[in-house]
Amino acid sequence: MTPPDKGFDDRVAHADQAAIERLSAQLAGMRPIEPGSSMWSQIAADLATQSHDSFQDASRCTRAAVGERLMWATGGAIAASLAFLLAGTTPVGREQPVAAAVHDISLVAPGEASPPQVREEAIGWIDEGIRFTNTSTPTRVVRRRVIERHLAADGNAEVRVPREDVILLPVALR
Amino acid sequence: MTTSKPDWQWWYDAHAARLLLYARQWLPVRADAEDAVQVGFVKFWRSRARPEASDLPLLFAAVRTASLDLIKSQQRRTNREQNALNGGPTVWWDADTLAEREWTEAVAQAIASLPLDQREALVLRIWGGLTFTAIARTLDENMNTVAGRYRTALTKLRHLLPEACHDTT
Repeated sequence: MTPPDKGFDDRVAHADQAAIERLSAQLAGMRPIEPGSSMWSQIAADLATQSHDSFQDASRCTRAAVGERLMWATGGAIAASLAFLLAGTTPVGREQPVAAAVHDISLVAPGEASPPQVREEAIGWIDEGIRFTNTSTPTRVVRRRVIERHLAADGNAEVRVPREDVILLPVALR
Repeated sequence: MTTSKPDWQWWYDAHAARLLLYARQWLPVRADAEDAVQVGFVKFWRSRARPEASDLPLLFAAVRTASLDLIKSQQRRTNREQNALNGGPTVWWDADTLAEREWTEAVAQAIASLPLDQREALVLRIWGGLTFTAIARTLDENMNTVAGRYRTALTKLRHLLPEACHDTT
């Protein structure tokens, strides 16, 4: 019986290692598909509404934030008024300014405001090249990202909504 | 074109595709994977207002947690998978030619047959671009363990994929 050829084993192991490295390099060259535009929009919306750091000039008071504060203030005023009515007493002292203040604020509630002006701020174009999607027709995918700025007529509030337009251009196969 | 983008958009542009691929290890249906990436990304960004490059494993971990949470809604997942099966093959990578498309489908099929822990290590290393140290941090595992899983996964893939494809570039 011949002893095992150690040199042969080493050569086989070396060849295996080289093949695995080639395979990993080839796999690394594959490009994962990009997510759909809805995911970007959802993340942008989530971060825009709840994070104060999402946009560079986020210190400005947005219309959405004003609406939320108005909602809580109005709810509180209604609850306080109901409490006084049920108790059969009239509001005195510190309670009166609260009711008056809520009334003043409700005059500019979002539902009663003039239609807002809309401006678009383009923040980027992305040409993603030609894609073979689930359909058989190849398409060129171009994404356009914009921020819609809805400015209230009085100029006191602004709502910014991120939007991404995906343009699919069919490409003929030859 | 303006270049003033919020910070999160730089992170999104740099990592969204690889996060989506990672989420698809648990959620083969694209819509589910996108949901998980969205939840994970937002959660990560809220916890790290000024993230640094070293925080990348936490981003992957957040997407992993979101994916596992989503799996718990079993009925929803089952319905969507059934719809996907009826809708044809799932595409995981871009393909410019028909040959590339055949290759990506073969790779997707081979990867899907790997055990989940090996698949995770492979995806995080090759397409996630993470070091073994970062992968270990993402998975809360030992670095040697994840390195071993990665090597095992590659060895299996080599045998699972058609030999002629190995040298196709």
